[in-house]
Amino acid sequence: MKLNRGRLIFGLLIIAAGLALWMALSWPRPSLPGAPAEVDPIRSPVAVQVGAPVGVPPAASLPDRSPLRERASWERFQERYGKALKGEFSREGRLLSVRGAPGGSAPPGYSADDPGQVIQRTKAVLGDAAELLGLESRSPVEVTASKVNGSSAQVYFQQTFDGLPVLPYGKVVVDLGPAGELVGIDSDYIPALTASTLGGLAVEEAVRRARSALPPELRERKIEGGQRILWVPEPGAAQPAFEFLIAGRQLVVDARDGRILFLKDRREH
Amino acid sequence: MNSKVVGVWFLAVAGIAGCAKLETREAATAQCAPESLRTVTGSEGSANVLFPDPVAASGDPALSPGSLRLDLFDSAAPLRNLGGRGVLEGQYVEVRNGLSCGGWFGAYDEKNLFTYPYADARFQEAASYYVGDGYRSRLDELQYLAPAEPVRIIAHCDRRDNASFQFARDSAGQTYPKVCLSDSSTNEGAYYSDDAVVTIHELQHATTIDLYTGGTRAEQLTQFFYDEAGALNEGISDFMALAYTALSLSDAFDPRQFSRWALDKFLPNYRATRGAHRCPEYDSAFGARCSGFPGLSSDTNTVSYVYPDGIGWPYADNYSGSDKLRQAFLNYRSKEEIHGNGILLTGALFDLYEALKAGHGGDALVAQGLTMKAVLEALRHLPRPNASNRSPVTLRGFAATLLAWDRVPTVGFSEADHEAALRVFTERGLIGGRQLEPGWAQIGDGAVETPGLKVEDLPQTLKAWLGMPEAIPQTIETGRNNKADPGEVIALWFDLKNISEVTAGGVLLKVVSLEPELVTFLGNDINVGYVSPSETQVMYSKINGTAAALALSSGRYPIATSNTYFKTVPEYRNAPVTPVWVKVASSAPHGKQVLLRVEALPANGEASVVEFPLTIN
Repeated sequence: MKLNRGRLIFGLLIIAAGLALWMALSWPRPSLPGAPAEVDPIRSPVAVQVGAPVGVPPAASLPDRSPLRERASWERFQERYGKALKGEFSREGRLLSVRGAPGGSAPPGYSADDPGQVIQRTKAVLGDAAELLGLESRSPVEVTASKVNGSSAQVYFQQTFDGLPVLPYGKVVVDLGPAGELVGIDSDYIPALTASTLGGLAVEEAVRRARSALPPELRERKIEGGQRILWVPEPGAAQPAFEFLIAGRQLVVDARDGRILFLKDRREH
Repeated sequence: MNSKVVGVWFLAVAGIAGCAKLETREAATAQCAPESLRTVTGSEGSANVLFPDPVAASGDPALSPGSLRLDLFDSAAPLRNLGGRGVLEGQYVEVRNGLSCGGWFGAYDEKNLFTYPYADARFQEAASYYVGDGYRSRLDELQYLAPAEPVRIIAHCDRRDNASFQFARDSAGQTYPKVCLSDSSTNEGAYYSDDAVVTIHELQHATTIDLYTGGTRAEQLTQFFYDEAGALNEGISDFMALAYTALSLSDAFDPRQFSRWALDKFLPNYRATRGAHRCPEYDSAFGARCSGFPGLSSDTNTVSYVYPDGIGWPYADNYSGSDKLRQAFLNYRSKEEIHGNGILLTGALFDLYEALKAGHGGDALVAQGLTMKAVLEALRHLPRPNASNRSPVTLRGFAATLLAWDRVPTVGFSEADHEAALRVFTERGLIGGRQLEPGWAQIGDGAVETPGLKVEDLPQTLKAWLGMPEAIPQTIETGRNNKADPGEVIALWFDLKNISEVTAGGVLLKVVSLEPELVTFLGNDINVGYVSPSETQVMYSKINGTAAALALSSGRYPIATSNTYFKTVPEYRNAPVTPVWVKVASSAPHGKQVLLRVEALPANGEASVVEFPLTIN
């Protein structure tokens, strides 16, 4: 086969670019700060995720499929919180969940009955997991609730953007055992979110427009709420909206034009 | 006195009594509490109640909702934890009236004497307070009260045959939990508030959601229209109601029967009662304490509530003849309804309660507390949805979680208690057992028009299902051939075939379109398991293994079923419970085959990947 010189140079350039990229990704990075109380680790800047092509089988657990950087980060996390912890990762290598078992010694002075300490502890965990989870300082997570009973504690976080909750995703839950040991993380965080928080309608106008588009059986029912939110119809892009409840149904209305974005019966029988 | 006079006298008295009842109820329904309330009394009061339900209170299994004798059976009960404003408002619950008072307080008494006759509509309000306060007090006593704030109960909420839990928003925009107890629309004078297990079932939803989601938004444990999270949710609510009321039940009544009043007697010609036994009422050995457990055979009318083969079978015996199992299969068209599919878990938890009772010297109160705490602690640790799994909770996962946390200090199981739980869950198939191995799934026959698949494209059906007519672009021209035509929106099901002996339970389908520019999944407003335009998820309740298929399809009363999804749940196509919603591009070439990759992950085994070709018509 006759070798085309131009093609050969082009091919060598491609190989060189690939090598450079590999080196960049696998270069050791400084570890995250160890989450002293005065630092808010939830707002640590982290890498943006890269999308994977369709049809790529989902990544299961490390280390076989993830780039070296994610693997090192996960190993550091396990060193700190428990080598027996099992992680579930997205196709892109983002941490989706962590599972462990109760048992372990408490950090000095930790009390599982103290909500303040619990929240501090979970923030520390999230700070150390921020890169793995894909948390971004421009879209921080905020505490919405905590459940503490001395045997375990759960702290519920909600992703926000410009101060608005990002729904229906964006939930992160950290689960601690009786000694403050990490037993679980669940994350539905949306990285690389693009969002417009500008919405032209007043809530009353949004209600008026939405009401006319409701199914007949709901049109005369009382519409409650009207909180401003960011609604994510699919991961990536969020749009400004209002959230209402109408006879137990969750109703989400586009804040720009009053279009119904989502209507779901949330009643349980 | 001659018989005619007696007869006339009796009719006169009955007529007058009936009119008096009607007049009293009409007068009472006009009574609502003052709009402005102030502290007028203390925290204790009294009510008349029929606890836990009119049948148990009367001792008469034949008592019916229309009976004029109900007043004979009520008894005085103390009310506690009241706020002191003369209404049914307290530390744990508050009860209002929906139909008569627009959601405001109905009953009002400056001495907290809420002792109404049954004919008075406020009877149900007071009874609901008694039940709700008692139940939530118990949770607080166990140190597992959730949510912390009072739950609002609306008695006489509306007219329909159901009860529900929901979130609502107050004028300050704060979300609060609310239980709606309806008045029966099919049975005049029948009230869901009269059945304590119904009230507690709904109150438990408030607790379950609070523990799982944090309780600050209108979110749920149930994710899809059918999933095991939903079955778990319902099964736990049934169990907690049974566990609470069991201690007040005389030995004449079955503590494992969920609802001997509302579900058993309100619906005309149909019993919807559920139960926590090891087999359903129509099992041939039900009367012998389900002696056929564990078993599955249409020939002997044997079915056991063992996972996963026990999923999808109703409880009540609404059937006659010698082939009851076959009749149940043919006539019970809700095989993927979450309340029915919670029965197995309710039974397992009740088995646990009884095992603990036996292990603690017959102390029912201790056993109740231990079991309730174990359930509530486990709820806190269940996995939440993420992009990889939109419905990660399974019945088996719950059992494993309960076992992982039952010995923590706030639950307090001993090793013996833990062993009892392990034994019970193993017997019910929720722990251990044979697992499905990779490669268990293949493509089944599907529909004639679309081998391996079923397509529903009839526009009027899809519009009715979605309630969004604008989402369905096709006309009847192309929309009645049950095929995927270019430009159509279709509902799609996959006929997975299970070649293993073992039945697949709680099968999560992760469906990926390998050509998303041609076949796309509709968004999260339509596909409940939506991940992206090229991926969505859904759950099938079970797919028979070859052993179950044989046990059901052979013998004297063979059932027309087999080891495919379409034959395991033949009603799949009648309702929009388990389809995925797909948009076929207008530019999709006729005759083109688009591969849909389905990763089928059962709750009891390994995932199996199958690629289904969807042919564009």
